[in-house]
Amino acid sequence: MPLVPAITELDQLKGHPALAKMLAWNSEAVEGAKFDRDELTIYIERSSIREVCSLLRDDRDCPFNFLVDVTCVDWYPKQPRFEIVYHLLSITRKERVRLKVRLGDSPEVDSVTSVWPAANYFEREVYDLFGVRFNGHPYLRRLLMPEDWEGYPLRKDYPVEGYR
Amino acid sequence: MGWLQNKFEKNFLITTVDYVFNWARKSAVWPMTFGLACCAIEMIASSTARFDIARFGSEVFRPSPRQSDLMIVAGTVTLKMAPVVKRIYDQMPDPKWVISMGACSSVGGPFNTYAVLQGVDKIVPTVLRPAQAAGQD
Repeated sequence: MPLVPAITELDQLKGHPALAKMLAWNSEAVEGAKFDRDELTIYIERSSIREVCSLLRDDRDCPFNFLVDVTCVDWYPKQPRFEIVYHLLSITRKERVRLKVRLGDSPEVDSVTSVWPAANYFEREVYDLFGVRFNGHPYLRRLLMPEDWEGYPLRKDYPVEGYR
Repeated sequence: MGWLQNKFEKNFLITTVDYVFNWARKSAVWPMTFGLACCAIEMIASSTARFDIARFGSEVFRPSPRQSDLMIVAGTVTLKMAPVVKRIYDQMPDPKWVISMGACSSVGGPFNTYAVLQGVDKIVPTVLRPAQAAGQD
């Protein structure tokens, strides 16, 4: 199957329920979108991620009731450095969407634990390994590494062997 | 001057008790039920009828460190797990031995990373490692 070029024009992607809902709510919250290999990615402005998530969860026509994953990408040494990735699934409509938030100056973003409780451990893992702070998280402690660990091992400037 | 006179000067009884104790320890080594990674599967297999670790008197895997003589460190020891391994070792009564099973627990194996302890002999004294067993150490 030949590779179809990605669609990045918002006008061509308005048919997707998640993007249409978001643009109707606040078009300033959407930084951009990409439709590549049958997958829709929406770039969200940092300050509105929690509201966007509760909007998508409570959508009557296409409720994204399943938070599949929250993870992080370190683009070091490029800026903006960190990118938080949310994978959402609407079980009833069998629709998937990927939300991305770029973190420029400071590595912190609002927690979505109040929207989906499943985000709790995902965000703790991202905090543990990337050092991204989630504001409003109920218990932001290290999850995988020892409690007294210093540094964030999955950052690209962290040596694989650690500092021993 | 009864017939017991000069009977104990060679410490014959004491050495016999040592011999009996050592024979008992050698013939019934009770390992700790304790596995960390894929080597644990191999260790479990060695206790099955096909490989039969019971030939060496070791078939009784004890679920408590208080009843064990031998700790088989079977698998990768992460830095988060290392204090737990050390604590289990400290809970075992003397005399006790440690077998480091496989490359991961001996020297870190393929995992030369921030999260993995590079050799369990950094925290507990091991008596047997694969390199030593092969006469290369």
